[in-house]
Amino acid sequence: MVEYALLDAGMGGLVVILGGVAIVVFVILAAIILRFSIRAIKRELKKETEAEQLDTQVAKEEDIKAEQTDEEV
Amino acid sequence: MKKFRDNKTGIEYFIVHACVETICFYLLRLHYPLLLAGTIAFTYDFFAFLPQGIIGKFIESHKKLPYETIGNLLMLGAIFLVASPVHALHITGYVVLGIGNAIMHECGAIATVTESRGKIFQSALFVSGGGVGIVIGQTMGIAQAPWQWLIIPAVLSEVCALAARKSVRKGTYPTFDVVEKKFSPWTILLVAFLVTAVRSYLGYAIPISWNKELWQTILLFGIMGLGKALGGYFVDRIGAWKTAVFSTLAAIPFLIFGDKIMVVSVIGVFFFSMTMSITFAMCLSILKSSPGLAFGVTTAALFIGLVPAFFVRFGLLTNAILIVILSIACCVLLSKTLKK
Repeated sequence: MVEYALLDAGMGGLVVILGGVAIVVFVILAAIILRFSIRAIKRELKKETEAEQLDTQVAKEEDIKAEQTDEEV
Repeated sequence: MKKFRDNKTGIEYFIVHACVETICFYLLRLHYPLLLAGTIAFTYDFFAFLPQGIIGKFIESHKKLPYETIGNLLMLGAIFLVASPVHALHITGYVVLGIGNAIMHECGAIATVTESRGKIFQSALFVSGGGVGIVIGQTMGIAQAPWQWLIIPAVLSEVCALAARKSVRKGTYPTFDVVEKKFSPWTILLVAFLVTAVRSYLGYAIPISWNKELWQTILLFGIMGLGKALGGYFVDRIGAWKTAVFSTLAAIPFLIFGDKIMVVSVIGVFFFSMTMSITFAMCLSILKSSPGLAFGVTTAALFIGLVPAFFVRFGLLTNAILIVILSIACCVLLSKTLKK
């Protein structure tokens, strides 16, 4: 009886330890994945903003050029 | 014929998605009676849903690798690992299965957006294929069909994915514009994330005690798939705002009072599934040059929404209250952030 009780306690302890390790591994992996994902999103948004700024700048330059051409004419 | 040609990539990835889910749900059901079923499902979901964003980003920036074949080979490897008599290999098999699934999903998302011409229907069509695969896979798994049969969907998936391989690698994507400009990109992404996570959780909270027979399960998943595909169709036809508000509100009474009445419940599930493509379109409107990453945001949200279902189960009344409150909250968030 005592041996069985000890075995049960031992198995239970093993399950708790392995479960705990698994949870820690999942949390660390999730943190790494989320960090990389957020970094990728940040980079993507930065790229979008830069592209928009460039578009606006090009449009402005074209407007100025058109105005200059009109004045010359 | 023209409509078929216009949606060719969507149809190809509909088949790929169905094949992929057939393999996954067969393997998930194969060891279902075990004590470890919850752990297996959690492990698989973790690797299938969470890393899709970074996988998608990687695919977009390294176009030369044969991702479709890698994804299918991983799934094929997973079949052998999970079906092997060595128990220690099973969990590894589910990890490999999840990663293979994630790669195939990302290929589908990128390919269908590339060929979308600014419409969301093809992506919705691709997503709806999953329901077909879930039913086939679960049925085969429960019936303990020989695992060797899974070679058929694996080969079919490879053939269809290779047919659409150019679409994954084009690198130019049409523009989506379904969100209000006055909100910051992070706000829109957060709303899309929250709405998807809530929808994912509610998927488990919907009371469906009528679902007891196999044909009823087939009907339920069929309606779910139809709802997802038609959700995309309506977004293109009447706009994202109208589709989101109508489908979210219309679903509530049917979901609550459909616990024992199949027809009522099925109508609710149909409306409920229609919002699927809207959150993807929202992410696409922000992450314009990265459909893989945009799709990854929604799948990560799906996983986060699933997590509570592994640990807590509420009663019928609590679920009904949750459905009403969360659905209205989602409706408000979507109506504010989507363009009218």
